[in-house]
Amino acid sequence: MLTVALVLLIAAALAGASLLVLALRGRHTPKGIALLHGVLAAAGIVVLAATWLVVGEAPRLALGLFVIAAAGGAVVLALDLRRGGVPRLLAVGHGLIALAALALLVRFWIAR
Amino acid sequence: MPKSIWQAAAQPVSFDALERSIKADVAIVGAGITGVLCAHALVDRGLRVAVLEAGRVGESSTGNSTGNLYALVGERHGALDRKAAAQLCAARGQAVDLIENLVEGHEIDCGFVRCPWVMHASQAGHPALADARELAAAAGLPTRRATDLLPFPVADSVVVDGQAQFDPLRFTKGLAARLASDECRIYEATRVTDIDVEDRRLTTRLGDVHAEWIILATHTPKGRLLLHAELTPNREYGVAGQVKSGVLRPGIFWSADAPFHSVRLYEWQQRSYLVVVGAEHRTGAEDDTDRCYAELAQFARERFGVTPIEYRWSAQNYRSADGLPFIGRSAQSDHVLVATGFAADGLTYAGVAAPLLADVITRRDNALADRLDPQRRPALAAAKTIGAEAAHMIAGLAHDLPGLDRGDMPSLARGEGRILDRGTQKLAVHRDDAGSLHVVSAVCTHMQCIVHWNTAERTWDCPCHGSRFTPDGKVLEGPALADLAQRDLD
Repeated sequence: MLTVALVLLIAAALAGASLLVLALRGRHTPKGIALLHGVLAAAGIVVLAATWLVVGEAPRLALGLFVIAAAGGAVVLALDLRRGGVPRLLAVGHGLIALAALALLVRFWIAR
Repeated sequence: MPKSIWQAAAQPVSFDALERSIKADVAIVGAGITGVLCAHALVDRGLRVAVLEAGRVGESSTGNSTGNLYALVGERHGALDRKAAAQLCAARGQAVDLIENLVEGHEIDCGFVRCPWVMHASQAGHPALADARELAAAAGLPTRRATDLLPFPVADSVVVDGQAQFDPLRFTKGLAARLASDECRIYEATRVTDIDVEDRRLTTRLGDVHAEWIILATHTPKGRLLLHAELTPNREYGVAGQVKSGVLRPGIFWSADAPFHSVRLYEWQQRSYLVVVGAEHRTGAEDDTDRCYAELAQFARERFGVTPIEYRWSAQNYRSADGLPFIGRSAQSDHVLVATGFAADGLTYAGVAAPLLADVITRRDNALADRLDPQRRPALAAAKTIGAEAAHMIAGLAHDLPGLDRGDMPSLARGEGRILDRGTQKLAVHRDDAGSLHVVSAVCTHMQCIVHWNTAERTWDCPCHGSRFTPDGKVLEGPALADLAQRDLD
């Protein structure tokens, strides 16, 4: 299960990275990719949470950070739709928190 | 290109564009029948009004309507309780009286005539007729039955006498021409490009308008509002052609049978024209909009012997999740008022909105204020519609995925439009009749959904909240304030 979560979250990270690059260049961020990014991330977090609850073996700090990053991502999307542009600082912060969480998850996965 | 019979019959009335910044007590965005009736009500109460119209007075939704005025409502009448039905129908009846008084008082030549409203069915016991009878009874409107009003067999009908019809564009232009004064300044070709609700300032190309109050009489409010999540945008079509004298009497004829058709007669230049309206679909959800006109033309030919069709047009309507319009203060600001969600009953609702909004501004009580409050909590029964709207929004956003639209340019025929991928961007490409390409961003400037080509109207329509744009990306209607961005194919 942990591997499934890791794969989902890496895929989400790749989609998120492409969005961040576009946002930082001032380009339009395709909302289809944004939704895909959100769905992959949400699925990854759910699997990770299930791993923690069922198996009892999961990096809780990473999970907590992913949840914070997800909330930030929802705010980024809402502000983008409301204001017609991605708030760059918030998007970078969201990405850095998610990246930190992913690093913790990878370290945990390797150390198992 | 489509042109309504009202636009063909309209007398030319024109107003200057706004070319400097001005102040007013009330700024009204939109000079359709709602905006002009609001202006009349407010000037009547001693307020100074500025009306800003992006195009020409009355020529958008009003000039593409049916011209019917009636006390009953076509929307969800089964869901209204008796008290609400009575209150709403009474207000709508008063709205018809208001328009009649204005026609007479200002001597506006618009063919206003009292006539029956008729809902008919090909089989007895149709539930829609039972609903209509129940609603009329709740509203205290007498009904009768008649099966000889149409030139084809009708098994059952509900007839409500004393309703009305007119030429909506001649009325609106006529009233606007009589209102125009220092107290009521009307500007055409004056598009509002930004609304600052804090400063109560409207931005236009050549000047700002500062006003204590702002009324968004734009059919659906401009800007990004939560209210849009409760409104479904639909397009409905109309055709008109000459009909033999005596085929139909004056009246508003609605079919209870599917597909729905609304039929009326219009006398113009000593000729009788049949007007047929119907073929409704959600905005941006029909690939072959020419089919809608064809269906109406076939109905007019088969049932009334009308050929050829001389005029054709379409209009947008916005249905609220609970079936009632939103008229009153916007959630954005107490000083920004909206009037929307009129569904296909809009001309009469305009006459309900004008006194209600004038009451809000002049702080008078109005019995309908709470019921039609735009900030009212959605009823539980509306949850399904709101959920469906959210799903449409997500689907509209999800279409913005690179790789979905891999068409090529050589296959794009004249008159066609197509969405094309260019890297991570979506382009809306149209080839005009001369063969020239028009390329704009396919991302709607309202909430970033991907627009959809409307073949019959030759417009880009957004399926999420109904914003519409010309092939060059200019805003035609809907909540979007900004034009689609210009793009190159390279």
